[in-house]
Amino acid sequence: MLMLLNHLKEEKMKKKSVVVCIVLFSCIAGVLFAGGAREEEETVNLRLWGWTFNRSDGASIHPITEAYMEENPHVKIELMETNWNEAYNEIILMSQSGNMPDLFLVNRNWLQDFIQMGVLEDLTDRVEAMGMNDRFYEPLLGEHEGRTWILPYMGGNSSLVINRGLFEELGLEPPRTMDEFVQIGKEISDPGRNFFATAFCMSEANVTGANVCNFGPILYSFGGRYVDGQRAAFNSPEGIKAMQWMIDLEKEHEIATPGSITIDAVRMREIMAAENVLMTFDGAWGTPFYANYPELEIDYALMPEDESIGTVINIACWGLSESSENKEEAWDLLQYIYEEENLKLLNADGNMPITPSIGELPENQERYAGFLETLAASDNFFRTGSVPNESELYRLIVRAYHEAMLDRKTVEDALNDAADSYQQILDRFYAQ
Amino acid sequence: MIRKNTKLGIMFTAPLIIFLALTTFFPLLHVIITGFYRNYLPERGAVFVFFENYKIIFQDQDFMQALANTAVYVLSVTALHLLLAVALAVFFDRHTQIIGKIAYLVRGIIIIPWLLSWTVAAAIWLLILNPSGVLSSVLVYLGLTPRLHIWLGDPDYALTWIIIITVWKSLPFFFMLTYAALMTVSSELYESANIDGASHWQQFWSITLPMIKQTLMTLAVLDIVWCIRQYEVIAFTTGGGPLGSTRTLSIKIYQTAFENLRFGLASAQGVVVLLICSVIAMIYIKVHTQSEVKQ
Repeated sequence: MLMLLNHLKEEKMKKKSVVVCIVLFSCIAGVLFAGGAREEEETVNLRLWGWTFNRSDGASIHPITEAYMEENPHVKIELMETNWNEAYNEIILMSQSGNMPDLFLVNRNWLQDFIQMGVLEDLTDRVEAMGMNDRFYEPLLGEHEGRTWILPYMGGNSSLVINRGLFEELGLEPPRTMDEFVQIGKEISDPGRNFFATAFCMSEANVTGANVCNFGPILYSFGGRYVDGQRAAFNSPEGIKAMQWMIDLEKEHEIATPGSITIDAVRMREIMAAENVLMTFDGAWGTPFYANYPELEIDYALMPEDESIGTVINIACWGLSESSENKEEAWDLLQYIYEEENLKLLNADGNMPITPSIGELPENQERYAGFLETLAASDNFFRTGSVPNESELYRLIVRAYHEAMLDRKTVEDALNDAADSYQQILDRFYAQ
Repeated sequence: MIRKNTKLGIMFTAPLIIFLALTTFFPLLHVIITGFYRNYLPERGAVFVFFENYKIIFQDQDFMQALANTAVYVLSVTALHLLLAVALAVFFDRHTQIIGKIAYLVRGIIIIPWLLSWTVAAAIWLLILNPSGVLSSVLVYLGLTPRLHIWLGDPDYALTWIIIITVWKSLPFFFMLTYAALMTVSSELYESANIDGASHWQQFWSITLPMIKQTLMTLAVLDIVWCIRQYEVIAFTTGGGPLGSTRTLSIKIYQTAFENLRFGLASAQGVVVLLICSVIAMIYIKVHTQSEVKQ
């Protein structure tokens, strides 16, 4: 009997122990899960999207975002990389599917399209409160009709890219005027040896490159404009002179590589890297390409002058998604990206300085002299993203160039027809 | 029993039908609806314009030029693919003994272009066709032309080069399938024909061609649809230029949607292309069914 009682007591004790264990385990698990849930609740996931995040290119965004996550453990940043050719389409597709990232790169010439589509947050109040716009070179600002939509990140303006080594070898100085450009070209070009003064990239395969690298800066240097008010103006006498000048270089003087209508911007840079030309009209966005060829002594000179010193400002900018659920955190990260040390990192990747504080560093004064001087001296420049349906404008210009180059029309007729077509687009746009 | 089988059938096919509905029918319906709107998407407050986009399409000279270019491109590429594939397959079949052990190696080499991506293929041909590229340089060196020629910049030649690049890139696929079809033809048929004194040409027309006709028809339809959809090789080489001489329907639709942001018009253009492809597919199905019935 006693044995039976003892056995029962032991069983009871065992049951008690099990119950106590379960209660204790539940408490611990409850505390742990509650903590986990709280942590999950506080974690903010930010998605950044762009086309310049490739680590193999030495993209500075990685160390910046990693440092930010270390300082802000509750923020997790996902970098979504695309390639340049797909970038514009991807934003459109992401916006249509309602799956926009929090922060995304916007090339300046897409600005009007994206404002119209309503995918960008108006940053004016935030930027004014922080006085951020005072930090950048004024022409690089991401403003449209007095409102700030985007913040400059990388790129800059166009100018004259020169092979300094070849210039020194030939005992020449970079041309200061368009006439000097032709004169130098006649002196050094040798079609038999496949060596020319310059190459133009006027292929339909990249109409943006054709305009921001070549036709745009040349048009503005000849004193022309794409648009004047609400009128297409590139068929002005200055516009005709600019396009005729380009065509003559290839056809009459034979100082530009043949086949400009088949050459795109990348191919133009390859021709430059192969030392088949002495200089090209190109933008600061091409500088990371030349950073791969340190032996070439590529340098940047002031844009040659005619009626003006013209340039095109085209820059990749950060935009905050209008539909982001983490706007405050995304804005905080943006401010972090624009801290002085981080801008230096960006500059070290081979990108033109976007603020005077970085531009005034001695090494940059020398390295980017041509771009910075052109930016400061330009009295007639075009900011991409400042006219409606820019892609169509660019395509019409390239088509006019092809028509004139292939002797289908005179430069004047080709530009007049292009201007008529673009005017219809402008009229439709302003009528809305 | 029948009811049980029907239920089972529905149960098994339902996931596929739902998957197709989500990935094909719904987007297709969306494109058709968007084709009736101006500019953006219906959900973004675009204006309903009914058939206006279709009216614009058939008044648009650029679209008609793209349609003509597409027709030339599709017919030329398909014809060349089939002709060359049959010629190569017959050659390999007839000369297996001569080619002997290196047949595998030769077939391996022939297949290389097909393994390349369109981007790489376009880059290779750009190196060949650039004004200072291999072709022009060789011709100038041999004294056959006085100056470097801009092959892809000449509206009279550009589309021809696009056709050549496409044929070069995809021919191995058509060759392999045609060759595989040829291998299934019984050698006894040829032996009998030989005994009857039939020439090679007669054997080809009376035995080879009828036996591989089904394969060739399938390949033709596939090729036509692929060619209508072809985008990469043109985008990477000429971008549709010069002067629209290589602009096909795919390029035109892309430019309308992503450069002009006229999604409604681009959707309507897409519907037109879809109708063209559907007509081709229906003709194929009809011919295929008729020949099956005959057999």
